[in-house]
Amino acid sequence: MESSETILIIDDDAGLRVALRAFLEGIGLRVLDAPDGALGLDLARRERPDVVLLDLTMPGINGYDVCRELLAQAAEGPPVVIVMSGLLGTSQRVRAFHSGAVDCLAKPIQYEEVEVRVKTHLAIRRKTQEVRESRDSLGKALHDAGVMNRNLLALNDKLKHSEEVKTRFLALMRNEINNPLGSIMALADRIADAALPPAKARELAALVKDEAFHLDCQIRNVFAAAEVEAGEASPFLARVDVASVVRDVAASFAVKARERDLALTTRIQGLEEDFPTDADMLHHILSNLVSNAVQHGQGPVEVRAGLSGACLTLEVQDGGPGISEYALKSLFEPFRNEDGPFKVARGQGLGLVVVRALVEILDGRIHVDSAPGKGSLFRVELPRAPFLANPQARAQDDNILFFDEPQAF
Amino acid sequence: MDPVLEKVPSHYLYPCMVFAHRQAFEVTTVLGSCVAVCLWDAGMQMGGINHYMLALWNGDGLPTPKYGNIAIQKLIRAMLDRGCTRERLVAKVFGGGNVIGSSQGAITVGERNIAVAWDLLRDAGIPIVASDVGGDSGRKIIFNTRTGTVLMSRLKRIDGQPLDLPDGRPR
Repeated sequence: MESSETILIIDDDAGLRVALRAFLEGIGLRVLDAPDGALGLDLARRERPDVVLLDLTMPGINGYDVCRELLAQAAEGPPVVIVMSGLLGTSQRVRAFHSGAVDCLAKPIQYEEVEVRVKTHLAIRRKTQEVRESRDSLGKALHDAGVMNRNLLALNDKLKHSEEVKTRFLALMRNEINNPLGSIMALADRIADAALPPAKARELAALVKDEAFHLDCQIRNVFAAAEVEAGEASPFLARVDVASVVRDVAASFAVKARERDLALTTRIQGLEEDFPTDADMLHHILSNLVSNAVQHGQGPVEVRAGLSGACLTLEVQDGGPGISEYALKSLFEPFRNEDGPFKVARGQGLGLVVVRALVEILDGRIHVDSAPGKGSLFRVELPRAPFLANPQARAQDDNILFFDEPQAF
Repeated sequence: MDPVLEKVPSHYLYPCMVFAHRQAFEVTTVLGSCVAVCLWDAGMQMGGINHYMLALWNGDGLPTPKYGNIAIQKLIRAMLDRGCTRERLVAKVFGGGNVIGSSQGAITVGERNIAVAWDLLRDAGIPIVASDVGGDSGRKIIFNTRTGTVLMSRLKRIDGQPLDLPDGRPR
């Protein structure tokens, strides 16, 4: 825009300033002027002119020094300096160019010449600016491409990892499913022994139940992961009595917790009313978190549920060994845990991966707060699920959204 | 039974889901920057639809139909598993709007989502016979899995402000 381009005149000759100013304003430029070098530099600092018309011989700082300073103080986008003087011999001209000026105007000033030179320099300056900008955006594009390349490399690594996971999936599953199954069969054999005293049989039956419960959790996780991957884990939304789900989950781990000598408590606040969400998913999310907390726990486990704003918050706090910063990064990746990429502790293969996927399906968030020696806090926030069977009705309630006439495709 | 009186069951398709069925269903979904690809096999008179939120799986977590590349593969697979023929499949693509919260960087989430549909369907040799994508409105579509027809209405704000539907969930 020519109108926003600014010309600064620095000259001790008041008459010339007024005349030049009037002329330049007449051709649509914004004009500032200063009677000496010091004021001119000050004005240039504040107003960042595009072109400076600079008198060489002035009281105070001379024109050459003013020119150097003008360029030095505006490192980015310095102005174009055109020197003006009545005494423009070759040596003055060379000295002016060495000081950073790009053009000269001999006094007395010819206005037509001023116009041509100023406009030419403004045009060059605009083009320079455009080149600089396109260079910058090219630089940015190159930078983006670099980032994308790095992302691709990282993705490549991850895919390699996921291939490895797939090839080891069966081995891992055998570990997770065959071991408890083997225990169950061995225990069943011993229970079948007719000579076994009834008290002992009851004890063994409790162990069978425990192993079967663990197996059930593992299999549920495998099915849930498969369903989520297939895009078939569609939520079934209903008004859920969250408090009873929490108590139910805690009760199902009570035996395990007692065995490990851990206190397992629940704290439920502000959930007198039912909360709209998917009950099974909620149950599954909590079961996995509590299962992990009880298995890794060395201290008390607390399960908290409450409301924060419109969200349901679920927290599982354990007194376990905590999670290292390194392990936190891959906590939600399949088959990774604290001990290294592939050493799978019981129940640590898919649990958190499934938890995160289910939380995402319910449009919620999960957050982990943990450090070695400090235990872990898993916090899940689930938004109030809208009853979406008829989103149009909801939209009309809001009175902000509307659907236009449907078109057929 | 009188076909007029036959009530077509409806199904609400959530984000990250894939739905393909031999029976007639009216599948409703609401799209912001998300994209839904509808596939239809005229010979089988059956259709399937997905609803994905982001273009490409980045290797984090499970490869779920939250991501376009996974969702499109799964949908094609689901159709073929139910007896469809790849050569007969046609596609209709909707969504990918530029809604609030989806425009960081030079290319919006919606544009990326659209591009993935275009590329993967072309690679799979499935022609896109209809589409309504991009722009800055949300969309509600109702896809009939028996007839392959899609009824689409645009979701707008009465005050003309841009929509805030970043995750494609109806509000």
